[in-house]
Amino acid sequence: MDPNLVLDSDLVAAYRERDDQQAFTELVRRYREPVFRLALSILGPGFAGEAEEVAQEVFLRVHHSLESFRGDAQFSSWIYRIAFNQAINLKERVRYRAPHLSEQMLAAKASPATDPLSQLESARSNRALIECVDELPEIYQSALRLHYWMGMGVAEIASLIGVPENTVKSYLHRARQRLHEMLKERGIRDV
Amino acid sequence: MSEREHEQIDRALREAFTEPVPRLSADFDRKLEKRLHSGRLSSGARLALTLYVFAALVGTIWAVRSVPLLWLAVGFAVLVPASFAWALHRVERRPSPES
Repeated sequence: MDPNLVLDSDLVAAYRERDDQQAFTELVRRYREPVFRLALSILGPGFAGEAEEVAQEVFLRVHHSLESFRGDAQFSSWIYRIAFNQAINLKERVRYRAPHLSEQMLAAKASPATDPLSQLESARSNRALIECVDELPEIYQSALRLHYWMGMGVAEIASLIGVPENTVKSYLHRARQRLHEMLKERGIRDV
Repeated sequence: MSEREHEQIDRALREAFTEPVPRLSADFDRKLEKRLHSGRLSSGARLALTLYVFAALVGTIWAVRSVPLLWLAVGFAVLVPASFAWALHRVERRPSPES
């Protein structure tokens, strides 16, 4: 049978009842990438190594506590909740550490302008924008990065962060609004 | 905030996040597999470990029966904190329990 057709709940049951390691491997295969992306959206660009570490920790924790998973919630919501909390905890610990590749550099690289003065201005705006993103509440940062950086749609983000689609739309809307206000306070009008 | 300003921020965000999204390293599964099974002892290994600890304890008591009490106290004062620190270090490197 095609493993893709097996439901998560059946894989969880197979692991719990028969200690089926293949079922656990299949769960890892399904969720490793979204868990990594969710962690990365919270930690930010330049923290890929840390996001991967979070993903490892999440699967170790899932492996350890799958026995006690009661199935009241969907497996996906459960694992994403663990990933979210793990990433937030790690972010608290690495808050003052510079990313391996600064977001400022990324912003400067992204400048589409051609003449040096415009490039400089554009890089400055981008840098300010990225700094403002970092000051937003974690959930807004995550939604913005999932949407603008990873190109995810609202439905996909909603499933990852465990909220309804309308809430994601509202997060994105409010995040843009806050960014606009923050940039205005910094005296940057043309973004 | 006007519709135009919303669009401006939207465009600026798209321009700011152009760095390619990193992917998981190719050996993610191998590393996970290694970590999943690193702390697991079979029942035979657990029994062997228990027997070893018991034998080591009896052997140590027999070996130090004639050592002066002062030397025993010094040895205890050095080795107990050292082994505690080492064990703590090992535990901290493992995943923390469910929060």
